[in-house]
Parts: sequence; C-alpha cells; structure tokens
Amino acid sequence: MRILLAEDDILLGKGIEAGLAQAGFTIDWVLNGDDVHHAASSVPYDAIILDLGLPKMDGMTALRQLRAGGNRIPVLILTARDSLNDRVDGLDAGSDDYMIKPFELAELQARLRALVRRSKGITEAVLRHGAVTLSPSTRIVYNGDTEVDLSEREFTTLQELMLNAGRVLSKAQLEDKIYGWGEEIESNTIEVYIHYLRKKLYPELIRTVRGVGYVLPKEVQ
Amino acid sequence: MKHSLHRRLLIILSVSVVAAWLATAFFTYWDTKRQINTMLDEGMVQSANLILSLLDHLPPEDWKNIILKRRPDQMVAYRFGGSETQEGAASPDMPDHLERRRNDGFSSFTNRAEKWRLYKAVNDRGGWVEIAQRQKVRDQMAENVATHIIHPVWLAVPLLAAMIWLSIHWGLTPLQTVARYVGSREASNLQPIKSDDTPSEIRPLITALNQLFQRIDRSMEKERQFTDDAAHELRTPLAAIKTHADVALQASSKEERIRAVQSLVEGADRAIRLVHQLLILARLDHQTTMADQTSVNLNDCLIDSVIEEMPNATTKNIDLGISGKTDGTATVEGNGDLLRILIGNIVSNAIRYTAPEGTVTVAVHLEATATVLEVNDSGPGIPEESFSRVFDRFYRVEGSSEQGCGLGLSIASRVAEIHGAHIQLENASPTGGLQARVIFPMPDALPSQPLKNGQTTPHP
Repeated sequence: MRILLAEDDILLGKGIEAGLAQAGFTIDWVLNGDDVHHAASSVPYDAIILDLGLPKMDGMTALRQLRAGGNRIPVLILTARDSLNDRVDGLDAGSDDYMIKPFELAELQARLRALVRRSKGITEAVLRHGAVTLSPSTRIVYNGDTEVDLSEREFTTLQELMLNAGRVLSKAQLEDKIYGWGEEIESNTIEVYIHYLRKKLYPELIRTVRGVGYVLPKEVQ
Repeated sequence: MKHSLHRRLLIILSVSVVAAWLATAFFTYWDTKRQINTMLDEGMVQSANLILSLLDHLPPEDWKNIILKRRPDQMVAYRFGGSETQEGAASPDMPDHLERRRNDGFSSFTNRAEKWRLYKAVNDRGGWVEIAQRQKVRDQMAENVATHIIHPVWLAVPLLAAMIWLSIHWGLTPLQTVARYVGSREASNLQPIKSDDTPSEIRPLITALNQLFQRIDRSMEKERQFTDDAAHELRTPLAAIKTHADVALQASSKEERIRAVQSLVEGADRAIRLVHQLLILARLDHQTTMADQTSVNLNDCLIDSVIEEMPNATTKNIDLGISGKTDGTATVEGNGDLLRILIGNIVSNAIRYTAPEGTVTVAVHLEATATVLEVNDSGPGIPEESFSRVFDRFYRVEGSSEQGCGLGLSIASRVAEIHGAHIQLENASPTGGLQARVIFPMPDALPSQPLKNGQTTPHP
C-alpha cells in the first residue's frame, strides 16, 4: 500500500516513515501543503496522512482543495489539535479519520489498513481469494492451511492484487504501489514476483493479461 | 468589618439621630420649665389680683378673714395691707421680717438661705399684695413636669435604634444581593453581570466589575491560548519520540534500531529544550521588576554565548565569532543570566537560519544615546511581512525547514523589555543576512528615538 505523508516536522516524519515501512507500507513524504495536491494528483495513493499545521498551505485547505478536485482518496488527519471543533471540522472537510499526536504506531498502521480496506469495499480484516488468505496486519499468507513464506515485495504485490481482485493492474501500477519516490525499479521485477507467487501458491491464482498486466480473476460463486 | 458600609452607616445615622434627638429633648425640657415658670407666675398674678379685689370690696376689719386657698404643692405665701403703712394680714409661712418691696412686679429675695420669688401688686387706693413662692418649690415642679414630658421620649431610643438597624439592613439588601451573586459565581464565568435592576448607586461598581471581567477574560484567553499552543508544540516532539521508540522496538536490524534510538534522543532533546524555553518564558511573564540587578559587562556575556553556541556552529561549519570592533568595556544595568539567555537565543537563531559555511558575527558598541548589541548573519534574512510576527510566541517563519520551537525571539524580546531595551530586526547585515540589534538606551539618554522603516520593536 502506497501512502502519502504530509508532515513538516522532520523528526516525526522520519519516525512515521520508518514505522510504516516496518508494516510494509510504501511512503512518499511531502513537507508542505502545496505539494499535497500535486503529489496526490500524480500518484494513485491508497491513503494520505495529513498534518494540519503545514507551511505554505495548511492541511485543512489542502484537504478541501483535494476534495474539490474530486479526489476520493482516504485521508487520515494526524495532528496535535485535539479540540472537538478541530476534529469535527477535519472530518467535515472530507477526511476519513482523525488521529491526535502523540499516537500509537500500531494504531496508525491499523487505521490505515482499515481505511484502505473500506475504500476498496472490503469489510473483512483478512483478504481471501480462493484458497489464499492474506492478513495485512500480521503479514502472514496461508495457502489453505499451510503458511507460505513470502518476501516483502512478493507480499506487497499479492496484497495489491488481492485488494483489487477482479481488476486488471498494469505493471506500472503495481510498481507504483511497491516503490516509493527515489527507489530504483529494477526491470522485470514484477514478472519475477509474479513468478514466485504462482510457484509458492498455485499457478491459476494470478492470470496474465497480455500486454496489460495481471489480475486475480473474480471467484465464481 | 473594619470598613463595613453597614457599620459606617450605623455610626453616621446613630450619631446624627442621637444628636438631633438630644437637642429636641433638651429643648423640650428647657421649654417646659420655662412654660411652667410662666404658669406659676400667672398663678401668683391671679392670686394677687384676687386679694386686691377683695381689699376693694371688703371692709378692713374683714381683711383678716381673707385666706387664700392654695394648693398644698404650690406653697404660695402672701401678705397684704390697705395702705403703704398698714399691714392687713399675712399667711403663716410668709417670712415675717421681710421688708416690703418698693416696686410692684416680680423680684426675688433670699431668706434664711432660701431663695424666694415675689410678686407685688398695688391698687390706686394704696392697697398692696405680696405673693411669694419658694424658688426651690417652683424648680421642683418645673423639673417634675419636664421630666414627665421627656419620659416617653426615652422609650423612643431603642425603637429608633432598631429602626436604624433595619433600615440600613433593608437599604443595603441590593448590595448584598449583588455580593451574593458575584460570590456564588464560578471562577470560569466571566459573563458580564446584568445591571438593569440594580440601584443606580451600585451600577458604576457593576460596570467597573464587568470591565474587570472583560480584562480578565482577555488575559485568560491569552493564557489559555498560550497553554494550548504550548501543549500543541510539546505534542509533536512527544509524537516523534513515541514513534521512534515504537520503530526501535519493531526494528528487524541493529542499524535500524540504532537509527531509531538516535532519533528518539533527538526528539527528547527537543522536548527538553522546548520545556526549558517555556519555563523561562513563564518565569519572565510574571517578572515585572528585575531581581539581582548588577552592572553586567556585555562583552563577557557575548563570550559566554559564543562558547555555548559553538558546538551548533561547528556542526554546520559556520564561522561564529565576536567582531574585532567590539567595545570590551560596555556595560548595562541588568541581570547577567537573563542577558546571556537573550544573546544566546538571538545567536542560536542566527546559526539555525544560516546555511552551512556561513558566518555569524556578534558585536557590542556604544552609540550616542545607547549601548547596542549586534548579531549579523549571512542567512536568507526574514521576509518583510514576517517582521511584525517573529516576536510572537510559537511563530516560525513560513517555509523555513528549520525545527526551532518558535520561542527564542519571544524570550529575547521579553528579556529586552525587562531591561528597558528593544530589539530591531533588519535585512541589512553587512554579511548579507539578518541584522538583529538590541538597543539599551543609556540611562540619561532621551527615551524616544526615531525608528527607521523596516525596523521592528516588539513592545512600543
């Protein structure tokens, strides 16, 4: 899951970046409100973590601008402002969740997972597809009753495909979800991850759409 | 109770009522006595006239039968005669050795140490009457009557006292109502008191109270805002500490853990610095006069601050130093610790906003009317529109990626204010950046100096 972090405090930003990376999130980080809109309109993020007290353009304005532009990406406000008014204003301006600093890293991770799940119309905390069960929080994958050992990137690729089950994801889209800004993308890596996923799970799980990308076919009830 | 209105009114009213009452009582007493005396005199005149008319109508041989019926308490003595030389009769209690009066009318005499009042009347045939009355008896009677008349007035005293007390009590009830209302208010309730149905005498007090409430409200709002801001500012480093601690706990490699712990320490340092600055500000806020005022050598303070800030300058490879033109003898009256905080904050700010490899130069020199402390840096300066706000608490110049807590200049300006000094900022440093001047007016210098454009004084 690729997350945009808007936070002007460098020390805290570094902490959030490291903490979310531990849970397998891919993070892009902007330092001011102006850049939120630019970043969000160029990359299809799964969620935005938004600080309110941002320089250049405060978080609330950035959020309104985002929603006015029709962007429906889940936004979690992460701020030190804790008054009821601030929370109500934040939610009314179009945010989906509101957390107050200082916060529990585990809770931030869980809330982000919940936000992403909800935005994809998934109600269960665990993703299922065929015989495969994937838990975003524990990062464990089962094939039937057997636990499958996946690398970080393999897990992220599978998670993205499962979150978008039935929808074709292009190679570029998958790369966007897996790599943050500045990370070097090795060529053919997606093919390699897909290869290993088919091998470790079962081949029919992921279908290749030639010249486009990959899809987890919708299960026939 | 020393300055009780109740007591004051009670005393004023009691004294004036008692004085008026005493004057009335005294006058009544005196007037009654006078009237009784007049009455007795009239009695004596009537008796004399009665005897004279008897002398006219009765033959002289019957004169001895004339006996004036007298009320025993009146004790009127008398004697009379038909002519100047002849004495007709006398009452037994008439002092007998008394010489006859020459003139008619009232007079008084003393007989055997007793004062008497006498009335003499004559008729045109030479008949005469003398009516005498002991002065003591007269006085006694007047006294008795006057005392009897005064008596009921004494009863009025407790009644009056009770009425005065009750009147004051009732009169002051609106005041007590207001007092009870104000007394029972919550400390947080600073809404104005309604003064529509209060007496006009109390209204100015209520208006003044309401104005006070407004001032308190404003000052509390400011205080609340500050606490709010302070808590808000503390939350960010605390959030950073907590996040890095969580990251360290979850770290899968030693390097990752060490990085997180280093950040954690950095966050703790920031929180400590912020708390330290907040404490200084809180103390300065309640300090109106300076404690421990001595003559402080500014150059010594500069040297201390430069040594203190040197590690930060070294990290960024900034050339920090004291100008060669500094006047080493310049002193100001003040508190050395506070002045070191002032200089330290300005210098640390200059270092923070100056790019690596830059220069920060501090200097002290004497001008015509002031001792001036100068900090010049080679940083980007401050946007004009921020000049008025940089002294505000928690204000950070927008767009700067530096992580100050926004209190340094507030503290500096407050210390300057306590020392009767002010801070001028200008993007006019000879090294291309910001120039901060702390101007300590000389004690004998004129207090007001014209300010140039673009300069800012935190407190006019």
